[in-house]
Amino acid sequence: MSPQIRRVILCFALVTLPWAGPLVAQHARVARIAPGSLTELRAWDARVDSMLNTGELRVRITREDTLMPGRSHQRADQFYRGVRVWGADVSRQLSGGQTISVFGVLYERIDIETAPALSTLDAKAAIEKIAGAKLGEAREPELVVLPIENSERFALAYTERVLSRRGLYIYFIDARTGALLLELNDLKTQASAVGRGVGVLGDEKKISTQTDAGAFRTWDELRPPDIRTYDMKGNLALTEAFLNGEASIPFSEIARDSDNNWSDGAVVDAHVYSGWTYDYFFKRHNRRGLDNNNIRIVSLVHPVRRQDIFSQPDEIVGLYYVNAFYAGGGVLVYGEGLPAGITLVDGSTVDFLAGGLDVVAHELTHGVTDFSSSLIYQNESGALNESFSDMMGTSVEFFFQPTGSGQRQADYQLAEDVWRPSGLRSMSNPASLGDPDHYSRRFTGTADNGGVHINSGIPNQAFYLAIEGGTNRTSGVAVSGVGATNREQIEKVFYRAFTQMLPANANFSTARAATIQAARDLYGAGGAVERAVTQAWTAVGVN
Amino acid sequence: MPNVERRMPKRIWLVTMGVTLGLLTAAVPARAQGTWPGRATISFNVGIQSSARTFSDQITFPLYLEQATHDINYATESELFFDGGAIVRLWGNLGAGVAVSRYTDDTVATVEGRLPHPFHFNQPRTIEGETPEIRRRETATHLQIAWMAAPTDRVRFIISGGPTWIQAEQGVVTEVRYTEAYPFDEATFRDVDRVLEEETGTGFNVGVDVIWAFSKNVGVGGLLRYTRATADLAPAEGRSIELELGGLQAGGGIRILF
Repeated sequence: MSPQIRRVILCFALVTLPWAGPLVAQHARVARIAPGSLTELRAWDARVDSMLNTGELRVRITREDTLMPGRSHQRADQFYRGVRVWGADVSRQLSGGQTISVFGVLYERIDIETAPALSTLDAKAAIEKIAGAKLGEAREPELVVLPIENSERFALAYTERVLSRRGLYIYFIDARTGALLLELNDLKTQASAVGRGVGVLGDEKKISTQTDAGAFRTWDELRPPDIRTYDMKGNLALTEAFLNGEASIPFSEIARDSDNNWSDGAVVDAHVYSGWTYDYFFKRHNRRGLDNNNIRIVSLVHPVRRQDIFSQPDEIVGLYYVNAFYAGGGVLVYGEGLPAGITLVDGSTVDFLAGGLDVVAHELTHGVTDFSSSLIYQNESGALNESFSDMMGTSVEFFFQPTGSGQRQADYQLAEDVWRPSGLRSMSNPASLGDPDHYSRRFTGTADNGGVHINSGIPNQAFYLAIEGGTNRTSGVAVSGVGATNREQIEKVFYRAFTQMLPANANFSTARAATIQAARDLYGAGGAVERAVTQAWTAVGVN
Repeated sequence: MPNVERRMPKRIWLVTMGVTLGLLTAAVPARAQGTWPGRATISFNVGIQSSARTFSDQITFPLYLEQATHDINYATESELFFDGGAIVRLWGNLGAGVAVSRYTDDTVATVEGRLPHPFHFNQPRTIEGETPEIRRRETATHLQIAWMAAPTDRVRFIISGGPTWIQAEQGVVTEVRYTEAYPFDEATFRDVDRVLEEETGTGFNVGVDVIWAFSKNVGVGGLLRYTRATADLAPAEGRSIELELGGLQAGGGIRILF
């Protein structure tokens, strides 16, 4: 039985609506064509030819066989007095003028008046009312003969497919009264799948994908939010148009793989690490995504091509090659990195930015901040914004990776897996990468929005000391941290303060007060956690 | 590999030996061991079949790019058996006969599963569950060559042995169902699908039947029989369960003497 026929039968099984009226014929018969012998085949072949001559069958499409040269497949729909019989068609395989096979479903003894009482416009209005959705001007319901399941009867009906909030449905209404005869859910749902991916650093990981027309796409259906990763294939114009709201990205740009074994490391890591970061916030902080309401997470990778770097202006290199950013509304862009053999002036190499778990988590945390405290991105509030992304980025590393200093190991360096050898920032020793570790050394210029990526070193150092303990190199003040095994306490304190307590224009002192309050709220006043947080801020000179 | 373990409850040994010794000592040693006075005996017994064993099976299947496993641990218990048979004396004290016994046990199987995580390699979730009413039924046919003796007028005994065929019906778990949901760190056992598999195993039986004759044609007897056979079930391609069948049967019942 052909898939087409199976579908018809399946659809008919869903018929549940009452039926009555004058446009009904009795005692029809369904003929299911599946010849069991050459004689039967010849008889059906002749019958099909005859029906094609009389117009009872009309060829819909003829296609060449893609597997067997010389063969073709002809599909013809059944018509009754010029009206298509819904779900009745014939598929005939031909070779050199000879019929090889015939399958189909035809209805016999149809006796029905085919002049509708409703005009097409009336029918369209009736369907729109039933579906609760408007149809475009070009859309016209089709008049069909609708076989009624299990009744040997037919109805003259108008049919149209409508997408509404309920889903995608095919509606059939009585061509005489406008009453709903049948509705079929026509939404072809896609199935989630788990594939195998190799990341930027060559590590193998599972990737949550979706099957789509025999292939797989980076569309995570296992997690509550819609997490998609688009492969922009270097189409910077489309990337920028999308980011500016001037264009949408077609579904076809979601990264695709034929066998669910993914080898594009940037695609793999952007997609997988987005999921891991969602998991971290869910499991550690009971937060449901960036907006705590499972907003869609859209990652864009390969916004430019590496090989085009030499023809790109500096601002494009700075934005789309050696950078990653949160673009608002759950959209993230990951830079392409530098071609092999090309380094920054300090000798650093830069790989695909999506290859760093802390990078992905850092950018997604900007989304969390965006939907919570909305820390203004300049001066101290901007540094707090950056610092909170560093804190959570590092925390996600410790949540999923073993502690250590090698690749794919959790540490207090930022972006070290892709920005080699040292990373962008250090929380344990900010000064090692040129950032201040004490308020007295803060940057007071206007560059970098008032040093948002520079002064973040100060709260970063406070976060580090509150967990690990130690002595601030500038002040010499020692801190009794809660210990690595209790890092969850400090993560929760800073998460609570930064997402629920801080105002948008907070400064470091506000952050100190808010985190101390959060420590008291969560772990009691005067306890080890409050002590660690207080000492840590004091050690970095924030009072 | 299936794991099979046997145990024979001590109480069954004690009861059986007690019955046997009691009947023997109750007999009047009026004369030396003599020829069986009749031609045949028919017996009906009920008793305990000692079949306390465990065995296991494993279902494996690919899940989220890794191998998922369900270890199914079955246990059979000692339960009642029913037995009927006849032995005909052929020549001197030698006879031959046949007996049929049936043993049924409804017990519990436990499931321990390891399910790969959809997001991470090497982080399996474990599930545990129990499924009741796993049936084991053994219908055994025992062919017997018998040594029949009557040491007194009232006491007789039959020592017998021979091949045994045991038709086994065994409930087998074919699929374990579970539920999982985001964040997928846990999965929960739900229920199982199972089928009743049948297989026949060939083995042996040895036994002794001690009879106390009330009259010329009627008596009571105590039966102690050990029977054993094995059968291999193949509930699915690549899976095999070795069943150990039979056990020690200790019981008693009516004897009709001819």
